[in-house]
Amino acid sequence: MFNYFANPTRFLRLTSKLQPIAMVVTIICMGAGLYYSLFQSPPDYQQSETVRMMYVHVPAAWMAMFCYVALAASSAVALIWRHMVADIVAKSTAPIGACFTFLALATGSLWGKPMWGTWWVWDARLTSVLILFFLYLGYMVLYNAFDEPTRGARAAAILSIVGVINVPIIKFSVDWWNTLHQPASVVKLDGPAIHPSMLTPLMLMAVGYTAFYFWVLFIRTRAELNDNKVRALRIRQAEG
Amino acid sequence: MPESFTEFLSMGGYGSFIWAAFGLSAVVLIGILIQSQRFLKASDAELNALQSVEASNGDEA
Repeated sequence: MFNYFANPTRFLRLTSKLQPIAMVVTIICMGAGLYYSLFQSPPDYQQSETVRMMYVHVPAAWMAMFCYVALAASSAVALIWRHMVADIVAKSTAPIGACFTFLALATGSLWGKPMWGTWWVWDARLTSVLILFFLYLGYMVLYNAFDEPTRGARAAAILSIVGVINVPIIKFSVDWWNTLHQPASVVKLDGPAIHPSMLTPLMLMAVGYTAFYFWVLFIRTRAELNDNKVRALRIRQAEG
Repeated sequence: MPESFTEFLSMGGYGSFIWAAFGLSAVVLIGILIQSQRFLKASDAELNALQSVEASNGDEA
């Protein structure tokens, strides 16, 4: 499968087909998700209206981790099999993941102030997500830190693979350490402990956020492939 | 129904936090979308320009 998509032309053809689908799914799911989160879902019996922040906070936090796993996995493929497309997927994922992580932190802070009484605490969950944000930034800085692009790509790929250890730490931080942050209530072995009236907008937003990631990913990978061709042409013209 | 609209905006007194969270999410997501589309357009233009130079060089040779 990797070999099949390692061909940039084939990858480009596939992404041009999938990009409009991702766009439509994003618009429909986010539109419906917003309607349900703001108008249809009830206020929480403890948190009242502030529970609505869940519908933008939780999908952002899920995507922050999802994107990081995608970043580390494609980096590993790029590093081991030297696939240019995998490298481009990793490079394109990093800024999107950084945006989701920033949103998870910022919306969490806006939720924390009225509910916990503080914008920020240095507990395990919040700190490990902050580290995730710095891993994304570190990846992007390292990628562009070398004159020779392949050296930057390799260094950044290694950083992202080492940093993947942070993902299970984020996931289980609420179980391993005392924290203000509540434990998981949707992704649980015995099923979600959340009422359908709140699960519907949450799932719509989660699907919308996921489709949004792929939409932006396809745009960015096409741009990066163009840039690679430009670089190759420049080298050829300089030599010719 | 202006009264119920202000009620909706106030979100039980938590309006500033809730609208800030939704607004910031919209700004950041739309922001990266626009930046990515600009990136694609710029790279398309650059590639086309280089390829047309390449083609005209080919004609001369």
